Amino acid sequence: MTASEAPAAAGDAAVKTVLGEERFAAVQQAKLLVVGAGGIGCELLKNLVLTGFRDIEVVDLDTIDVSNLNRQFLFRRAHVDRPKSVVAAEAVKQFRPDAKILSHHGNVKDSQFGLEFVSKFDVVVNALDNLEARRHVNRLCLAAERPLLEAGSTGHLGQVTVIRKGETECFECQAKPSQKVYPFCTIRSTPEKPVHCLTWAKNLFDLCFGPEDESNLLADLAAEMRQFQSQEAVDGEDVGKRIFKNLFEDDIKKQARLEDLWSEARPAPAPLGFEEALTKAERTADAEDKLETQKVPSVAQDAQGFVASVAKMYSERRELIGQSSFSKDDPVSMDFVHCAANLRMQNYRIARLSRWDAQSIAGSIIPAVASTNAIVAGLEVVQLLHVLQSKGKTMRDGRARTVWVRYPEPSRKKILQPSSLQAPNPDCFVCGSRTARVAVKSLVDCKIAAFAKGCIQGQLGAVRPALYANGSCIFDPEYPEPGPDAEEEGLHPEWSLTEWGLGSGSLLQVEDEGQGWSINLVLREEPDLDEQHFPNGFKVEAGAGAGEEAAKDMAEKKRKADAEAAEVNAAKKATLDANTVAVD
Amino acid sequence: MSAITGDQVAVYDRQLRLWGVQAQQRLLNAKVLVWGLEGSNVEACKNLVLAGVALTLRDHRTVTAADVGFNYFLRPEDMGKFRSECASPRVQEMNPLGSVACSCNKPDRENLQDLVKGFDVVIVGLGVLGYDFQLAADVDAACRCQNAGFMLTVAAGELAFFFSDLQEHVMQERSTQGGTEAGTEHKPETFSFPSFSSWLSELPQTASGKTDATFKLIALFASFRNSHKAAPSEAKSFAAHCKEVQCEPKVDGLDSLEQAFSHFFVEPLVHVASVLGGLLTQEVIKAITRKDPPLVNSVCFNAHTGAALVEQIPAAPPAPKKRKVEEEVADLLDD
Ligand SMILES: [Zn+2]
Repeated sequence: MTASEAPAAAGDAAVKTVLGEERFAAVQQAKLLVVGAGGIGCELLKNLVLTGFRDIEVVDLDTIDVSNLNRQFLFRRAHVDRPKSVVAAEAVKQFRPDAKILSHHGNVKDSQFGLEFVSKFDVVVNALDNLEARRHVNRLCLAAERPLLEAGSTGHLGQVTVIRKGETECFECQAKPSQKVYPFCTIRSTPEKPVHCLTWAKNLFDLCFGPEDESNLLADLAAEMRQFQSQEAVDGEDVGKRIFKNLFEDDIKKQARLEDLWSEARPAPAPLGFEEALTKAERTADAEDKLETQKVPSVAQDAQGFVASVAKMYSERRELIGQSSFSKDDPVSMDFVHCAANLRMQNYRIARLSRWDAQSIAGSIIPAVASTNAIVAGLEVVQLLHVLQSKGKTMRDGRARTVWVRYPEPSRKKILQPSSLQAPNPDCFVCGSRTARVAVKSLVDCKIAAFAKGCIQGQLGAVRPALYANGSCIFDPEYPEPGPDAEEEGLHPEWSLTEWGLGSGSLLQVEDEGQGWSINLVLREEPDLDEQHFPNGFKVEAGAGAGEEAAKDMAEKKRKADAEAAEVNAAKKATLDANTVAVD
Repeated sequence: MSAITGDQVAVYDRQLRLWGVQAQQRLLNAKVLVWGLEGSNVEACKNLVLAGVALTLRDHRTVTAADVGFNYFLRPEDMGKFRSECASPRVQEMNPLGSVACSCNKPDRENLQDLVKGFDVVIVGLGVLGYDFQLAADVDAACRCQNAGFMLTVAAGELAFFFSDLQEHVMQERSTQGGTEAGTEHKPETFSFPSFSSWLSELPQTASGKTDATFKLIALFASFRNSHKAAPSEAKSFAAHCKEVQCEPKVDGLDSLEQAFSHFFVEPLVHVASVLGGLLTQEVIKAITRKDPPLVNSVCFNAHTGAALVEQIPAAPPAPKKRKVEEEVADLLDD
């Protein structure tokens, strides 16, 4: 043994003293997939490698940002913009040079990480921060029959649990609040809250500087914007001022003339000219201990900031125009969105925001700190060791638990509170009955491609769904657009549900081969579907997408059934709510 | 207080959104002594330097192969050198905006006050104190004189423990919604912490009372140390000691008291240190920011159950019964 091998051997020996031969052998033999190399992922990889795990693959889509450095301790300034998975794997390999750690820089939803890939591993350990990816990995693990360790953190709160097909609740057995979608007209004509204006501004940024996208909420303004942008030798500042005049002055004048929309309770918006904006230089008084970025700028600053951000796109990033998209971490796009949203708030008499708050809402930022991630990642390894010891037993008969991270006070003297794993929900549309009812506002108006994207992907969490009715395929994810290729296959993505012969009571089968998941849908037409709550024109009525009513219902039932389970549920809901303060 | 710079805002963004500017400023002005690079203390170093707290790492011991195998701030080429000297630049590297100092001196028992002077919180590992519980009580007493918070960490394999003494701690505000929002309520409240010497004087009651088996195990270790050496070879006499005082706790996940005893002398499992180090960090942050109610005063995590328990030892005396106003008025009239 060389001097450089001695530490690993001594470290392993200490672990073996504590775990015993048998458990340590299981650790050394296990083949793990870690999904996510961010806040929880960095802590997890450190814990795994130093506990003696030797065979790990890690997948992460992200690159490193400065705002990660307060907790993702494997990363340094010099690593900014490099892939998280690669840098994290390199860093923990230094702790145990003999460990085999393979990194993948990619999206876990990509087909290369499908069933076949997941089946290679003994256990999958999640270290993810978004619900969509967690739903996807949940389905992959159910289909591949691999145990999944699931964890989440929000601020000081967190939780860890274990999922195994047929033995425990899956990630989707209990309804999760789905992402909020705002009605089109609220965004376009009648914003009432800052979030409506920020959603509008993000769409505006993508419209002006991103690729063409029909689903952009402002797509009909594309021609106008292109006109401002397309002149020879464009001067960015000039473009900015033209867009300003068009959106915050002329368009608002037109809006104000639509008298039906306005009343005393909802006064018409006030147009704002650029020169006029510059005269509004006063700022509201803010508390002294606030950071500059936490103070609300003057209208003049917003106007100048807006034009300056457009100018910057032309002077510094001309080659990226047409391929950019909004990112909360990109200062130019964030400036654009903050200023544009604030100017629109000024139009609509909504209290404007500081850049700090605008970034929180537009970027759906979840507060995060190293200590919580360290706790959560440690608890995942605790449960992982129990899972490796569960051979021959079902998960619920073993030692594995759901554990809640309490803060700031313990609950019944427990600051980390375990609770028994729950049995699967037989009605779960992912691991149970696999049936859901979908109410559609108008079967005639709903195109099959839009239905697949908005309902099956957006709400039911599929990634590449194929739809079948009466035994034949009516939508294939290979052919999402109409055209001769689709037609040759007998597919018409542009046909409505009625054109496909579907009516109230029709049965549809959905299959997502990538996820190894399928579901039966029963359609129902409901012309009175409330547009405010279901702006896409459909409503899922069973399982996780059933909305808040069902979630409350289920929580209520549980509360009655078991006092302790209820207490735990409340914490779960708080964590989840905080986890999903998403904007679009 | 100096203003937070733009660079700091960029790096500390996600935690500023958790605890706010004022709490961050307090953290940036705070000094914490981590005495003993062992067990959960290693994790606390990481969490605290990332949070922006200035650290001093103190340890007079030199690096062994086992240290490098456990402590990811140490490398094979460090063996034989001082632990704190080798670790400090690498702890610093995680946060170039922070500050990390180190000391390799052996502690002077007579001069503990000088050693803890100027620190807001002192975190001590039992190992660096040579498993000397009485020395720990002396350090706590010095911290009390110097107005520093005191935290003692002990680890044993899949168990990890800390004791904290924040004396008369005034919490000035409380974050709303479990700390997921920067919003705060201003409701000052005082928490009285027992000293570590009163923790030690409570040992027989802790070992025989209703507390969880994990606390009993630590208490038994402490009472055993009054008359015995701290060495793995003493495992049999430890078991005998427990039998003698008629307290043989059955700790979830441990086969025997001998086995439990031997675990005090190896580094804990890293993920166990990770969990306890996280909880410990939260308490240090509460102590510094004076935000949110602290845990009083003993916390033990058992990886077998996944639970971390909080216990006040010794228990607070029962609150004096409030007399009814009428009785008081009657008393006054009698006068
Ligand atoms: Zn399920």
